[in-house]
Amino acid sequence: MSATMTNTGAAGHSAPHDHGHHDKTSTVIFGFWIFLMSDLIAFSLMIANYADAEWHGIANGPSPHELFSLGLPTIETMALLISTFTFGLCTLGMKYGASMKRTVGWLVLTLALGAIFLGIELYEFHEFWTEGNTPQVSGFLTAYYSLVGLHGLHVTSGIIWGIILMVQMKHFGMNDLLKSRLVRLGLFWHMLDIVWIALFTKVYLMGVLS
Amino acid sequence: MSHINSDKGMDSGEYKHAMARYVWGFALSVVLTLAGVVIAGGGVFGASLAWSIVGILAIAQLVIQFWAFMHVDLSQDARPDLYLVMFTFVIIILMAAGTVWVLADLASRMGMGAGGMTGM
Repeated sequence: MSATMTNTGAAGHSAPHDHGHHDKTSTVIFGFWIFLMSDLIAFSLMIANYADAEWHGIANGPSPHELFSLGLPTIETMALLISTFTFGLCTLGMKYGASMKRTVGWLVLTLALGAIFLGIELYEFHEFWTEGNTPQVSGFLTAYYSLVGLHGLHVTSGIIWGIILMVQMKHFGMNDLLKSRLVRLGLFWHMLDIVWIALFTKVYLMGVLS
Repeated sequence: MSHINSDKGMDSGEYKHAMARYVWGFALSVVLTLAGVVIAGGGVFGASLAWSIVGILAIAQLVIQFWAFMHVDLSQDARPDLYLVMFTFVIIILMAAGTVWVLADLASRMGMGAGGMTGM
């Protein structure tokens, strides 16, 4: 702990009061990192389950290359990738003293891109579903809906969390607690895009190659 | 290790330097994503070679996004995060690869064949 405080001091923060505060923020953010990494492990096991279901669980249903095309998933991927970048611009500006209006603007754009991502995902689910490819058709389809759906639920909760933060910012104004919360939502959002790299590659890119 | 406040403003060199990292991360991610789509959809390479290439592109993009957006690097400040990420990937490799191994072995013992049921 003392080493961290010395580092913070060396970085040029003069008021001793600040040290304890930054230390606590760092600890809270590291704690959130531990949650994120446990979530990453959960996702990896869902992917392992999917990999097996796609391999041995086709039954009488379609195989991945019959079901998937790359057009919409690529647009979906780009929407999420742009959103992770705009969230970066949001939190980076916030750290360097940007106005709350700018911070909220980037956050709104990020959440809107998240909503576009989610809309495309639900559209695809609806298309597959109405073609008769429901989860109960095969192990592969069960694994597909649960894996991609779990990621979609994460994005949904991220959007709700972002909206709640905006309401809090409007009520309380920007303070260090809200900044810390926004940074944690940012880490969550960035991790969701990292998870999506794996999903997009395994489910769609490797799916059409199968 | 200040995550939420900086003494400097948005006109500082430090801000521009940090911004460059995000822009690089984003640009490389776009290139790698589109390269993956072209290789998987283009049919230039054989299926197994294309499979390997998109896998490597995904791993590269994963590392880039951890570096650019989640600020994991070799600096002293990021060391706890780096160790945590490395430990997490050891667990992931053990558990995820172990799961696939066990389930694939089980499937072959059930007479489903190593390559799935497509041949039946």
